[in-house]
Amino acid sequence: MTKQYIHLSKALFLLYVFICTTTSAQSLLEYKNQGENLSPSETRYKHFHFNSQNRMLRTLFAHPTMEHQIASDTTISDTYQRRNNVSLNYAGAYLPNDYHIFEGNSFINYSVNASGVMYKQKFGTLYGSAEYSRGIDENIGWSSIRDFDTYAPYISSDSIGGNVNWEMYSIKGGYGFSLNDRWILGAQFSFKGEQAYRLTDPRLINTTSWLNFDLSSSYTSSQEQLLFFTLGYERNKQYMTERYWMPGLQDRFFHAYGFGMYNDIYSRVSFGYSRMHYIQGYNACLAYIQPLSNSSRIIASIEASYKDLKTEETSILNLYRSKTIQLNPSLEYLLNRGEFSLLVNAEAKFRIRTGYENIYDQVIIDKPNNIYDYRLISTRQNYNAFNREGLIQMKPSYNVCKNHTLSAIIGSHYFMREERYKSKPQYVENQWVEPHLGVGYQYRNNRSNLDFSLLYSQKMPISNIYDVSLATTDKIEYLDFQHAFNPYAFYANEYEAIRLNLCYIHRFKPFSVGLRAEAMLSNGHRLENVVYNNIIGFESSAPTISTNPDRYIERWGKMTLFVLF
Amino acid sequence: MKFIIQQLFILTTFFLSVIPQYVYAQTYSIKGRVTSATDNSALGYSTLIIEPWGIATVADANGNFSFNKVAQGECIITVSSLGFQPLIAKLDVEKNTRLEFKLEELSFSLNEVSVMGKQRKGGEKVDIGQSAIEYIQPTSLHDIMLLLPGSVVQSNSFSGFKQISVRQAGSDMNTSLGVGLIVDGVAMTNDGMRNQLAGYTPGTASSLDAEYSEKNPINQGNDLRYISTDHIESVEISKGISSAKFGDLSSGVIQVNSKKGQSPLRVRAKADLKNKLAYIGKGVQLGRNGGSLNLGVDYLHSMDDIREELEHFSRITAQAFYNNQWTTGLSKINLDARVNQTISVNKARKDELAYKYHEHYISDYKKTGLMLKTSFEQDDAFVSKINFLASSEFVSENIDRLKFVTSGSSALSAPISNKPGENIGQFLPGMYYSAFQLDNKPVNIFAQLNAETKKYLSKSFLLKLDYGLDLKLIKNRGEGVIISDPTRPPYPFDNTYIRPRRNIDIPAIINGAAYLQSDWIYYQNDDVLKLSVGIRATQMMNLPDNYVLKNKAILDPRINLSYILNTNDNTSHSFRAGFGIESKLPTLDYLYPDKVYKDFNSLNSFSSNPDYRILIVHTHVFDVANKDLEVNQNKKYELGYDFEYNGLSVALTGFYENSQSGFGYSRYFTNLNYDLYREFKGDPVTDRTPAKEDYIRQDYNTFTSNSIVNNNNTVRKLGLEYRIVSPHIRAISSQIEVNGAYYSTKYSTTLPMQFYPGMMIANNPYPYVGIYNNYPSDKQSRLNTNVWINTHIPKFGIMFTNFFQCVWINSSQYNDERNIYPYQIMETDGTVRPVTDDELKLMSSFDPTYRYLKRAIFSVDYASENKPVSLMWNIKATKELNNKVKLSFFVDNIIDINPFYKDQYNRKNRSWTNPYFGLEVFLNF
Repeated sequence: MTKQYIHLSKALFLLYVFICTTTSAQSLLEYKNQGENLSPSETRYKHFHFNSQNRMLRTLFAHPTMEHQIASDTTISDTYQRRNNVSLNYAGAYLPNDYHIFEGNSFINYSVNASGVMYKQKFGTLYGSAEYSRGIDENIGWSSIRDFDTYAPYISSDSIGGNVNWEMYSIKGGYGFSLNDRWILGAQFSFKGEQAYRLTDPRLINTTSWLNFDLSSSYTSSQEQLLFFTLGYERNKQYMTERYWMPGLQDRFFHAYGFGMYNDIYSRVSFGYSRMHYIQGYNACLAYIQPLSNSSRIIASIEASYKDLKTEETSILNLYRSKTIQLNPSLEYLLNRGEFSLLVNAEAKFRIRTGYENIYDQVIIDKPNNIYDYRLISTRQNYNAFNREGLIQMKPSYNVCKNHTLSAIIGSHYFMREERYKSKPQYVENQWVEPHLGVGYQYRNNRSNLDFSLLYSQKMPISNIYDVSLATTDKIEYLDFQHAFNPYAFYANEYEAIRLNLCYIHRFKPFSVGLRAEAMLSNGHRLENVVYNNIIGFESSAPTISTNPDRYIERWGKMTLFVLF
Repeated sequence: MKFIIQQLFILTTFFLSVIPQYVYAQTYSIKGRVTSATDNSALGYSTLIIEPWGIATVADANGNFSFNKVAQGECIITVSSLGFQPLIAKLDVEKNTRLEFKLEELSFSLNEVSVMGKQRKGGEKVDIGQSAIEYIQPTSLHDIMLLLPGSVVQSNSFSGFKQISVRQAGSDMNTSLGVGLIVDGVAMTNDGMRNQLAGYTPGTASSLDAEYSEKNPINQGNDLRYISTDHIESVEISKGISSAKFGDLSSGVIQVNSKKGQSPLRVRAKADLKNKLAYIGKGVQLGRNGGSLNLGVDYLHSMDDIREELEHFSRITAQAFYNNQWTTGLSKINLDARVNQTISVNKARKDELAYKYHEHYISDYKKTGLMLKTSFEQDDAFVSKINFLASSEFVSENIDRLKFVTSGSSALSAPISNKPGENIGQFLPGMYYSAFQLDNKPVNIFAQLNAETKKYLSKSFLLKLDYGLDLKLIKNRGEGVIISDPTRPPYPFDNTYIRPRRNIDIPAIINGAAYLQSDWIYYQNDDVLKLSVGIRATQMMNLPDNYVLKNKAILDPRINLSYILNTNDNTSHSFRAGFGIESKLPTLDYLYPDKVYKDFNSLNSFSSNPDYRILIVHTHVFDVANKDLEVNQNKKYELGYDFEYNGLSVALTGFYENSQSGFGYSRYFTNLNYDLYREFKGDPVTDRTPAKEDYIRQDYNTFTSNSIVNNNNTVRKLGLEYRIVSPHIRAISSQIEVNGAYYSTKYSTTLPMQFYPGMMIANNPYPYVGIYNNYPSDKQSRLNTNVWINTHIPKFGIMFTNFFQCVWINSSQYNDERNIYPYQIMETDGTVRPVTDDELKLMSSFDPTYRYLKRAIFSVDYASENKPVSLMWNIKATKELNNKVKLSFFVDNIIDINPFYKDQYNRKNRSWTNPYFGLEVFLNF
């Protein structure tokens, strides 16, 4: 090894030690094995769980240089050296009572994914992953777009709803290389594409694609401190079209702009309609890792992103626009004292969204031929949304003997969402905390690993405000029940939940085979005062929830079979 | 025909007699063996070609090969074998030589892998090899065409037929019909398909139902959906002037070479938004001298719109290719035999109404192909090679349709007699089922006897003659339209009712051809002058006597000249020029349309009491066969210049094509006279069935129109194709290819337009048909640039492609002579006369009759639509693991730029595009 790489190599080795001790190779594998979140239930499961260290791993591995930091250390001879894996996943979820109608209440999906890392001395590290998945989300109502949270409140919908099948392809690839003994440069590309469709009238098809580019650098100081910095560009497109197959049938398709309001002029009764959504996004991420030789160290990270959404109708009108800024600081502290270790992590998320509505006028441009075109006459800013999220967790671990480790976790998750509309004052707020505690056990020997954890949480509401004065009358019908009350009621609840994780890996000589089972069960009810007392506008057969408080039950489970080689 | 064959014979004899038999050129033999670099195993049936002479041979089962006569001097030998990287070596032949070639297994870990088409030196033909075919993950032959200059990305739709577009902006039926598809030397054809059913037949004025025309390619050439690329080893595409060996085409040739010989077990699985495909195949050696057998089967399931769950296209293709070689002394006998089977099912229900009323549309397609090719080679004989090729193809397509028909508000009528004149008809119920089948069973037989003569006129001069005869027989043995109940027509809204005729009753098409292709190759000091002159004579041999094509010889002369100038500094210049005539013969459907029966109500008395109803129709029979139909002849001119310098190559091809006699349907009006009974003589008869005698007889004169096929379509193509290929750029591990084309295409018709206002004037049909000197045309232009950046990193076993497609110009404009007044008028008695000045004045005034002959012209209809510059970015990445597994991912349209523009009507517009993506796994055991 040349002299200039000594610093780096040492730092890398320590980084590896850090990963093994603070997160365990098991956790790293767990992180690496995870593909996309394929259902809202899976996303909720991952809001927090026992392997809290995975959150920081996700943050660190978002830097394209990270893989090279790890992979270029040839002294590593643990499980992680098996850098390629193939996994098969199957998951299902069901919410029999209250649910978020834009998401649906039953999810079944399966996927296959593969990932690999290839390191060539002097050339660098190439890594990548690919995933194919498909599934069905059932009983979706009043939203025809996928991933509504990204586009809200500018969603469009029919009044029928139904089950949506989907198929998703994703790929990620990156490359990192050492520029000298201090600097590593890297670049990453990822693409995710989904086609979702409904086989019942009005038949729907959504094609959504996400494209990301990241450029990254990392720096190792003479004191073995590591600094990562990444800049990224993001581009999203969602094309949506739906129409009635049954000849002659027509319906109203709504172009909503929050709280149940919709553009009355363009929400026409028709055989069908199409719409395009475009997002341009930029993000930056900075991470710092304290010298790894210390018995206690800190990892800090901050991510910031900006997204600009535009909608486009078939008439080429850009009716809506939104700008979203998100900030995500996180901090992790680790203490190692012999057989004892302590992990404390704290994380926050702030998201501010500002919405704009464009007003158009129709003008005649060719009188003899009676041809009209549109002209933008005004833009108004009324909609604002603010989400705040926080998580703090403490996880002590103790190696009982050579092969056995016991862990415990205690923490709390905080969430607040608020939406407001200026010109016709409307306001919705949900706020709660979810304290949790859990226990875990790990067993490992030369041939196998076993991980088990159980986490219990209880959601406690802090504040729920529903101040929407758009009640449907005889003359005007609003979608406030569907578009404002429904999501509000979904969050205005209290429940208890348990999360279970069991993973077993068996090593064979050229490869390892693992099986992981994860489950979440939530049981509770909507708060007693969360009742909708007004007339429901556009009452239809579309899936919905009851106006009165109902139970909240969510069951989710996932099985993963994976091979590491 | 006899005359032509005699002429060809004389011509051939002349060619051969002028060759001085005593000319002596020093030649040597090259012998050797082809083996695998991995394990030294023999690579049987490898192909070897020596350039610039274009001499080819095939190795035997043990990889041994021999060229017995190769001229002294330098030459280039190319060795290829299925699953191996082709090897190109330069030889200096100064004595009898023995060589050993070791081929590397195809892998991205090799330094040089070609994933693009390769243009032949001194020609415009593009070769697409197996590594390129594997890499672009084609689903059908259409995908491969994207590698050619001027091609643009198209949707991956399998539900509907896609026309082949060649050197043009837009597409048209004649170009698509005129593309020759040659599979292992066999000319494939789809000319035996026909479906003459009013309301169904595409291209006719009465076509009501798009569900058939969208799916089936009648009169539009071969359907590339049925050609699986999994059985293909290589493809050669020539858009220019083809060899005289190939005929019955007008728009270039696609030559497909099937996989043959030994190969590892290969498994391929592909999934994208519309298609799911799986393939398994292997080539095995059958004992020491038993030859080799290559087997493969693939399955494709395709849904154009995933919401239409019952409208899908499923195809299974299987192919077995056997080849063997026997050597005795200096002679070799090669045998190739191929059996292939295609099965596809296309079940469709268009909408939920079909569910509700239990309609169905099932298209069942089967094709069995047999091919036998044998060649006898003896290098030192005057006739160095004799090939005999025979193939047969049995196609069976059955469309089973159950259609629910509703008559709407008024009762529709149906005739029940086949005789012209007055007949009793019947009223149709308000709603009913119409069940029918369309049965096509074309049998295509192709045979070719071909000989080759190679003669070195000096050590630098080679004359190659390729001459022979071929015969094509096309017979449709299907039952045609089968209607279980003729009184329940599927398209009662069209009064051209069906009178079924069996396809088997239609004569077969038998086309015979003789050809002579001569290549004069002069090779001196690395410079090559090549003159290719060919002539092809074709005759349609089984036409009825009253067809003008009967006994007519169609002559296609073709000439190509190229000069390759190699200088000493790794630079070469190549100049090309060519002229040729290519002729596409009419199809069975064009030659023998069914008679059109039109029924007009003479007496229509509908009563609520079924016993009192009476319908008398007047049936007119029209023979719409055009006996004057000619071939579609395309005149092609081409000029090219190629330049190469240290791995950089530039190719420019300018062309002009003029096809003045393309097939097309035109609407012709004919006068009609029949008796009409609609006014009672006295009080209306309500207490019995009325009779003709109860009505006042009216002599009714009107017009009707029929669609008749003509040679009235013209397509004029003008353009410039370019292609720039960089050498491998080490700094970015990439090779860049920039290709594209400017195409200007004008589609027009040569027949005057006929217009009938179709209204009643004073309770009588409008009395005139206007004939206008308006020749509608559509001019389309496109300039595009495709940039392919192929990044190959052998160390990581990765191939990554960035493909940018930029369309700089994309415009279209409708035009005609803008004559608002007719120059001729057809009277109700059928006479056609010039329009008088007085009539013109009446037309320009508000005359209650004549004013309807004045056509309204709107300036917006003539405005051109110019789309702005658009850009599309596609990516494709393949990672190879241990030479056994390849994982690929592609995204088309990952980023696109389609700016806003003002459309033809001056409205703001924009094209929407969506990403299209998928992945593929390729296993090689």
